Amino acid sequence: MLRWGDSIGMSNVPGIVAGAQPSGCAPMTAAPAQDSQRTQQPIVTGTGIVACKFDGGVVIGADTLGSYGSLARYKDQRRIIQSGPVAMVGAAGDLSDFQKIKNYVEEINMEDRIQDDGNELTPKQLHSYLSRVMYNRRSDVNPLWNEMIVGGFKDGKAFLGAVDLLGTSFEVDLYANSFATHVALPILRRGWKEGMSRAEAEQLVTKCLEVQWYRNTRSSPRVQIAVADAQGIQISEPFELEQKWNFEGFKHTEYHGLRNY
Amino acid sequence: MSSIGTGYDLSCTSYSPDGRIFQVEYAGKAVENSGTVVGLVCTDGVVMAVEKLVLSKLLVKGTNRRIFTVADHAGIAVAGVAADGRALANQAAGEASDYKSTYGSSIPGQYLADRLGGYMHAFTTYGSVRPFGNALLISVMDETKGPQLWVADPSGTANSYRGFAVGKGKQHAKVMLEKLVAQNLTCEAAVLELAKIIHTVHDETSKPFELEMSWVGTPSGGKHVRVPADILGPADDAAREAVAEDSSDEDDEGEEAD
Repeated sequence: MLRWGDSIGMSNVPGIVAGAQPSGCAPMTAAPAQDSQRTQQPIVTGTGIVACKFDGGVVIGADTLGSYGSLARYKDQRRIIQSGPVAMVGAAGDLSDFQKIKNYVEEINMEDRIQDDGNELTPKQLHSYLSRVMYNRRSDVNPLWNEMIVGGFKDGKAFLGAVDLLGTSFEVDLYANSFATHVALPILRRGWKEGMSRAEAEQLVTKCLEVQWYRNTRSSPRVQIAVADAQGIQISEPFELEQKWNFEGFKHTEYHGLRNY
Repeated sequence: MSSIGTGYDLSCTSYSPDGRIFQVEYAGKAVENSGTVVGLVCTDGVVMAVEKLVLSKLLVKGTNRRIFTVADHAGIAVAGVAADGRALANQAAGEASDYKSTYGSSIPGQYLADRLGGYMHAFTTYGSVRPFGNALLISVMDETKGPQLWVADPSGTANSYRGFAVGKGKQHAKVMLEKLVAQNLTCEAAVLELAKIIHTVHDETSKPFELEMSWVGTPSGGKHVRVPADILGPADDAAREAVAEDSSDEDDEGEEAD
């Protein structure tokens, strides 16, 4: 049984190790040359997203890096997007696939605006829609190579739902994907409590992003924090994390050797 | 201008001896008999107003919409056959969405109007279909050209105007609009003025009406939306009073508001 937070072998590799194929992710044989190829591996990728609920909303955090394998290539990729007035989506994985998903999200919200009947897509409905899209692509063995989190606050209820490239779809109180599953999830689990305040939740998520910067070689310290609450969606401008590198273990390596890291 | 086109008016595929296509003209009659629709280009946007005749006391307020949002930055007010108008608004929404998918930006006013006009025109060239019984007022906040008002009629011609009116009260409305165009109003001011026009041209002996208004421009952040109730309500009331005062003073110019 797949439990949330379990990393799925294929999607756990954020990029391509220089020259080689990612392990556990052998490219599938392409269809005959005249057919279009199906998605086989992510190219420009975003790494782990971290999210959790708090009392009165949800918070999602992500860095702004688009990695080209091990190259930190695109420094200003906005990986959290707003969807209508009450929902937002954050994505890790292939960023060009996420751009496509962004188009779908914008289109479906446009339909609501055109109907103009006062209905707006709830976070839960958006989550369901994205799950359908992702599962259908997976069933054609041509996935949109993303792991996403849908967050929002509507009618007094906070919503946080995960969807991934396999179409796996479930609701959560706290969430981390990609590499952050290893690095941030333990911190989230220890630090999260039911009914925590917005400030506490933002702090927790920021801490997770900091630790991700220390430990994940495909991350960056330039991050965004997005909050959904009764006031709507607020996605911060990217900001630099506080970093601490003056650890004892990094000094005088002739004494400490390689033990401390 | 009510000439009978006996024998030359059975289908769009016939001209009359004096070069008219009567079926298209008859479609125009559907527009002429509809509630008045006015639109005005302002310094910071475009405002449209519809005299929505309420055909039954059982109707829920706000239903039977005559103004449609077709894109973020564009809307269409419909005069004439309501169902035809809805079909055209859907068509317009499709055009705008396709343009956005292909070119990544909002459909320009000219492009939208031409596509819609072309679509309407197609139905005037075959005997197996009928023309749309609508005139459309298309308000657009064009990315490069700013606020625009385009008008498409049953023949399929689409033109850009600074202000326009169609429907029952169009003659009188156009006279009032000509004065307004010169005043370079903002959207906020225009809401009241257009409300007054609609109240003025409304025929008291006919059914009661609901005022439906939309704007696209600075007050709405560049998006086509209905004029908010807290602005429309007072404007509606003020216009009704102003017109009542004027008619009791036997002065039918429709000015004199405070």
